[in-house]
Amino acid sequence: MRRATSTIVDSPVGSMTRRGVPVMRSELTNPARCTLLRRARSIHPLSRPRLKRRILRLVLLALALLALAYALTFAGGAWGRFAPWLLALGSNGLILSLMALGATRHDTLPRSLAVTFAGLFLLCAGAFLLALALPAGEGAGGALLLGLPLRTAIVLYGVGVLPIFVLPFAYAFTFDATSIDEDLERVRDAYARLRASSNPERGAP
Amino acid sequence: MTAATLLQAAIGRLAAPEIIAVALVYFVVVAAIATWASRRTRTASDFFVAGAGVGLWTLAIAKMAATLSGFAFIGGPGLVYTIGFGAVFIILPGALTNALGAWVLARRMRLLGEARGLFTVPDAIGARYRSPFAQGLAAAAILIAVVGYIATNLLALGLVIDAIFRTGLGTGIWIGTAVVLAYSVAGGILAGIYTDVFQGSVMALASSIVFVFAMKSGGGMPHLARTVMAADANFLGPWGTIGPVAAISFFFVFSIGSLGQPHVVHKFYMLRDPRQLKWYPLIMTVALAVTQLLYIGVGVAVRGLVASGALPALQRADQATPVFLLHYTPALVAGLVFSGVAAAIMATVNSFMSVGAAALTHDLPVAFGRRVQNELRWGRVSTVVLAVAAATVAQLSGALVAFLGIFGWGLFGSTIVPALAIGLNWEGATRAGAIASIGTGLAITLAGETLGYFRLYRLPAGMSVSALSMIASLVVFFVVSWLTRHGAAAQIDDDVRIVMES
Repeated sequence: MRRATSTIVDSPVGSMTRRGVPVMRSELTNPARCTLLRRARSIHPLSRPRLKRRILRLVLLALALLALAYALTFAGGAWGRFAPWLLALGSNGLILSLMALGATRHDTLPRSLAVTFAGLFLLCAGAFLLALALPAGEGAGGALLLGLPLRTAIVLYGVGVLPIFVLPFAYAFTFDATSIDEDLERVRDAYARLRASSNPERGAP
Repeated sequence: MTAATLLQAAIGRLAAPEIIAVALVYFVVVAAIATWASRRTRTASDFFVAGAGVGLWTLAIAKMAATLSGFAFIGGPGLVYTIGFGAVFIILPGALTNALGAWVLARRMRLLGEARGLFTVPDAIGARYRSPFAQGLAAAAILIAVVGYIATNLLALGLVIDAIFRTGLGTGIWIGTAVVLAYSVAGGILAGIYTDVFQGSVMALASSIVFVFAMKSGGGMPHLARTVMAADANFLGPWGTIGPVAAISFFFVFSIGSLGQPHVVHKFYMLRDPRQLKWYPLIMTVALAVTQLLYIGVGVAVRGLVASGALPALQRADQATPVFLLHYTPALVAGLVFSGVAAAIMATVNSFMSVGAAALTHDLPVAFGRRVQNELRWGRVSTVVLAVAAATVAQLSGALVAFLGIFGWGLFGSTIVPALAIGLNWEGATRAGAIASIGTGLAITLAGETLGYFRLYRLPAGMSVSALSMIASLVVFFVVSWLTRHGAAAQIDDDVRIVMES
């Protein structure tokens, strides 16, 4: 089914919708595609134009948080105590929004991945924020969790261990091997056309 | 020259017959693999990207070996011993970065590399922006960092060889250089990749064995934690002794910066079948996690042993690994670990030699509108030139080596991440934005590290030049791309656009 989505080059017919899903031009000219297309889009409900732009806004927001955090560190004083909180949000936000940007193909991000990225952001940023918020209890006799002080265990297991059991599998289970050959063929064709029409200024290797 | 002191303490036991035997076996295996691989190196593609014929397991383990330098075995545990859990934030992103690299770069670089026959990371930047100048600028940044990295690693390799074979440091550096050079020149990255698989396996085995010994020596993790916490409450606190800003800054620099490490990223070109990428993040993440066990285990264990009075306080933090090995592991295990250290160093040096030689032979000529006729031959010549230059630097001045070695990661991150990692995923990125971001990363990293090294200026507590330069280059990249956005669409070739959408 993902194979079908990856090759869709189409556009919606004005604001026409059916059961809340936009009707595409190809559905009017080729009814045989209708069922396939609609099933594909119901499986990938985040497939909308401009999705990449929304994710880029998240990248920029995370970057702004990081820049603000360092600006506050420079400023020092009372404002400086907010810097670690912003760094925790910004660094995890940047990592996971870049993952979402990279995982977006043909302006489509599978819902399972969107949920995974959102969940991992909550997990990783939450682990940092929790460690910042909890009172220090690392002295002699402090509580241990799996052999480490509580706050340290939250950070190590939350950010350094738990994602190992999620991300590689999320990547593997959404890996679209079938479209790689198609994509490679298209890239080769496009490059061959480019070379055929190239002039020295274009700098094609 | 921090490692010199470290190994002086260990020299008596290092020269034990078991350790020498393990080290000799190790070097013989490396030589055999290199000889086999060098016979298969016939083209520039073989030399620089292993003929794009590498399997998944080979790719993942070779990438792991190239990612971890001797720092993971010597400097890292020493840093944990010094600043506590704060040092763990350097390796903490390992759970995220391999999947991040796979989603952001792997598929796109692999497709682009196959369709266009690309060799290098600057190649991809040049193709993305249709800009030989951007390609040349990225290559210049890579060259600056590579010489320092190679010099630092050759110095460390010379120290290990001196400690095991008592050759003297100067001779040890030249012997180490000759060994790496022999297989790098003969077999290029093809020999490097297959020796990396052996070296990576040695590193993973050594690390996991030592971790068990480390936990055993301290009476298990809970007992170790109690001992350390009684002596220093902050040591095992979530940020160690460096505070949250510095710790999370490590996390930021070593997570996002991972997308810009050319010696690691360029290995995506080498995979035989891009469909194998499916399980790449899992294999790479697990391999990396296992190999980093020593980093945490030894640092915490030695701190606990010092706190309990079982060991005297270390004179230098870098003594942590050798002192632990010599006191708490059998000689054979110590030999395996010192071979693992040499393995980590050699794997990293070989990758840097390949990346640097490609920049000299391929990317810089392209920037000047020229192509080298025989890239294989000139690649070999460039490898020798780079190695001799770096070994000479390593011989001349420890201070110079330390200075050159400190800014590599940040320089790669700030110059390559925006233009490559974001540029391959965002159609709105422009040539001007890429060039401005590479220039910004270069300028801020070089100026900031120079001012810091000569103590002319210090950033506020917790801030690093690498973090500052990465933020600045990312901001400049977006701002300049936005200001020049009208030309963005016209700067992308059709094949590159398909790669970006795929």
